[in-house]
Order: sequence, then C-alpha cells, then structure tokens
Amino acid sequence: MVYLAQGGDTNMGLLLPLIALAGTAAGTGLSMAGNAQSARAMNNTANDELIRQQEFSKKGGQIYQQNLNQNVGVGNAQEQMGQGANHASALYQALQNAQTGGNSSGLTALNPQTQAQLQGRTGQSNDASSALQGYNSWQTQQGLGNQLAGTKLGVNTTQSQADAANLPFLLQGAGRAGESLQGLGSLFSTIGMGAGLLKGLNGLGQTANAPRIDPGVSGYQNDFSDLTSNPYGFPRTFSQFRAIH
Amino acid sequence: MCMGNTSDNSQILQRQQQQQAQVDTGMEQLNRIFQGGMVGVNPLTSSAVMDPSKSYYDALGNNVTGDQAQNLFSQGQLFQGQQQQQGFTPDFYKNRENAYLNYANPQVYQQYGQQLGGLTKNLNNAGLQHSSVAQQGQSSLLQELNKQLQGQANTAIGQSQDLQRNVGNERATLTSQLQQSANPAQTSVGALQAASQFSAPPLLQPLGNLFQNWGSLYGANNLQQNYNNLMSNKNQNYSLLNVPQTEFAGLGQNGIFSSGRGY
Repeated sequence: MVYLAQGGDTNMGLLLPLIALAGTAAGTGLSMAGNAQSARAMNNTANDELIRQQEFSKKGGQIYQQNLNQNVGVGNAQEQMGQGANHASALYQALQNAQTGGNSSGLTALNPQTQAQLQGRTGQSNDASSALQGYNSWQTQQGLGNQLAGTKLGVNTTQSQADAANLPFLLQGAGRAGESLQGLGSLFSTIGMGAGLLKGLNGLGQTANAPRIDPGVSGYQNDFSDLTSNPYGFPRTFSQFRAIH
Repeated sequence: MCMGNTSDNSQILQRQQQQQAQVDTGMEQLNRIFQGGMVGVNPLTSSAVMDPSKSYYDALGNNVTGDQAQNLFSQGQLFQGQQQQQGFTPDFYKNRENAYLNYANPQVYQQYGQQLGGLTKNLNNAGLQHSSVAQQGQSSLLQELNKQLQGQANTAIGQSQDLQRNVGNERATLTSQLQQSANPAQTSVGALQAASQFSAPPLLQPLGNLFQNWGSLYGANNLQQNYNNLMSNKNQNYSLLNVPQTEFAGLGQNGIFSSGRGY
C-alpha cells in the first residue's frame, strides 16, 4: 500500500479523493434506493393484506345480510310461522280424516248436530295448536338460520385472522427486498472509505517534517536509521529493495 | 437475496391460499353432504399407493387424473369413489314424522278401539245405545281421539324439529373440525358417519295409556252424571248414585269400560 501511495505522482493524489467521493456518493445513493425499494415492497404488502381483509369483510357482510334477508324481521317470521302452522294443520287433518267412526261399533252414528259440534271443537283445537306449532317452527328455523350464518361467519373470520397473522412475516420478507441494493451501496461506501483512508495515509506521508519516501535520494535511511549497522543484511532503503528485486 | 425473500413471501401466500381453498372445498363438501349433491368418498390414505388403472375423484366427486390427482393425493384429498348424497331435505324430515306416526297411530287406534268397545258395551248394558247419552259419549270419545292424534302429530313435528337442530349442531361441529384440521377428507368421513346416524330410526317406547284421563273422568263420572240427568228428566227413580264407585272404578283402570250394572 505504501508503494501505491508513493506512486507519488499527482494523478493518484487526485484520483483517491475522487474515488472516495464517488464511492461514498454511490454507496449512499444505492442505500437510499434500497431503502426505498424495501419501503415500497412493505407498502405493497400491507396494501395487499388490506385488500384481502376488505374481501373477507365484504364476504362476512354478505353472509350477515343474507341471514338478515332470509331469517330476520316480522315478514320472515310470519312466513316461517305460516309454513309451520300449515304443515301442522295439514298433518292434523290427514290424521283425523282417517279416523274410524262409531258406526261399526253398533252405536248409532252421530247426529248432524253432535257431529257439527265435534267438528267445531276439533277445528278450534287444531287451529290453536297449529298456530302454536307455527311459533315453534319459526323458532327452530330462526335458530338454524342463525347457526348456519354464525358458522359461515366463523369460517370467514378464522380465514381472515389466519391471513392477517402472516402479515408480520410478509412484511419481514418485504423489508429485505432492498437488501441487494443496500448491500451494493455498502460496498461502494466501503470503497469510498478505503480510498479516503488511503488519501489520508498519503497525506500523512507528505507532512513537512516527516521523512519522505523518495528512492531517488541517496543515502536516505528508513525508520531503521537509528540502527548503526545492518547485521542481518536486510535492505534498508527502497533503492536497495529495488536493487535486490 | 431479493429473489429468495420474494420466494419466501410467495410460499407463505401460496400456503395460505391453499389452506383457504381446502377449507372452502370442505365447506362445499359439507353443503353437499347436508343439502344433497355429489361428493368423493373413501379417501386414499397417505400410506396407500395410487393405481394408474383406477379412477380417482376430488372432494366434490369430480374425476381427476394425472398431476391433479397426484397433487390431491399429496394433500390427502384424493378419493376412491363418488357418491350422490340425498341431503337433509324437507322430505327427509317429513319422512321422519311419518315414521313416528306410523309407529304411534296404530297404538292410538288400538286404545281408541278398546275405549269404544267399553263404551258401547256399557251403553248397551244400560240400554242407552241409541240415546243422547250415547251421542255425547261417542262424541266425547271421538274428541279425545282427535286430541290424541293431534298430540301425536305434535310429537312427530317436535321430533322432526329436534332432528333438524341436531343436524344443524352436527354441521357446526364438523365445520369447526374442518377449520381446525383444514382437512376436508377427514371431515367428510365424519359428516357421512353423522348423516348415517341421523338416518337411523330412533328407539321408541310404547305410548302408554293415552285415554286414561278420558276413561277415568268421562267414564266414571260424566256418563253417570249424564245418565242421572236423563233419568231425573224423566222423573224416574233410578239412580246410579247408589252404585258403588268400584263398579265404575274398573272403567278407568285401563281406560277401558268394564261391565256396568246392567241398567
């Protein structure tokens, strides 16, 4: 490194600051671009999740509205009660029409008046009972409708929660989307710092009182100059070094 | 590095969507089992080996081949057969009502016949078979019969509604299992088992003495009262008031008229 630095010419002295500046600038720019890329990816991920959650919410709303339309309100209640009452009434009629009369027993058949009274009382009882059955039927249908809607909503909610639970992991992944640019930026920054360091080292060698590395000066002693002898025969100067190699 | 992260996210989303699709398929499968439709049956277990010469089906009973079949097999969602499910339709519940009524009504009519026989015998013994008392007794018995038939119809409807609630509960349970397992094949097996259980006839006990109240109230008191009224209207000195109650107590013992005093 010292050798490079002491290339000594003016070109290198200008080049190093330029490399340092360019490297640092490029590194900073790439890091910013990487950060922006990560931010965009995270924003997109969050937006995608928001859109999916809106879809879940929309689906849940549809399930709820469907239940409202089909199971809730006086109109639906009356319809369901009417169906239940009609069903019960038809069943009563079918059973009671099939009953055996008293004629086969040897008793005199019911006279019209008694028969009318019987039919009147039975009809009243059937009407009252079928109306009550209508309430039961409505309650049953209401419960079943709410249960089914609740089940569907539960599935939707669970899916929504499961989807949302992945968001932290997705954001973590998206946050690393700009890592390649950030890494490249770091590399350029390092180059810039290295160049700056080299320039600094070179500048240190050019201070006024410092010994200057100049192979052209005869008899120049390096930092080993305090040694009065060279017992191991190592080259002491750069010229000596060049002469050997 | 960037590509790797994108791939990770894609895999997370893909797994999530796959699980949601499985749950959606399972929900549709439950719909078809409970409301009627074609479904796949006999899931191929993971330890089994696919036989290329055989036909395989997805959860909704569609024929699948090749990569699609292999993919479903790897998810445990491949079925060896298909089956048309009838579902729990209104007809299903109506059949259950009829099944109960077919069970209960013969018992109602049997008991009615016994009561009618007792009433006829009693009236004949009293020589009242053509009287207004006979009309009232007969009308009262018919009204009681209608009341009992109505009661049995209500019981049948109640059983049908109980069954609907049980089916609804079972469906909710299976849906919960589906969410927890996200495994339509396993849920399908449970649903089919539940469906077969609901289709089985219930164990019913004999109805008991349906006309007991009528026999004890009308038989012991009302007929006697009516007869007394009839006699007093005719200014005759007959009275059943002197008849020991035990003579009529037998009338209500089994809800059947035993012999009277022979009036």
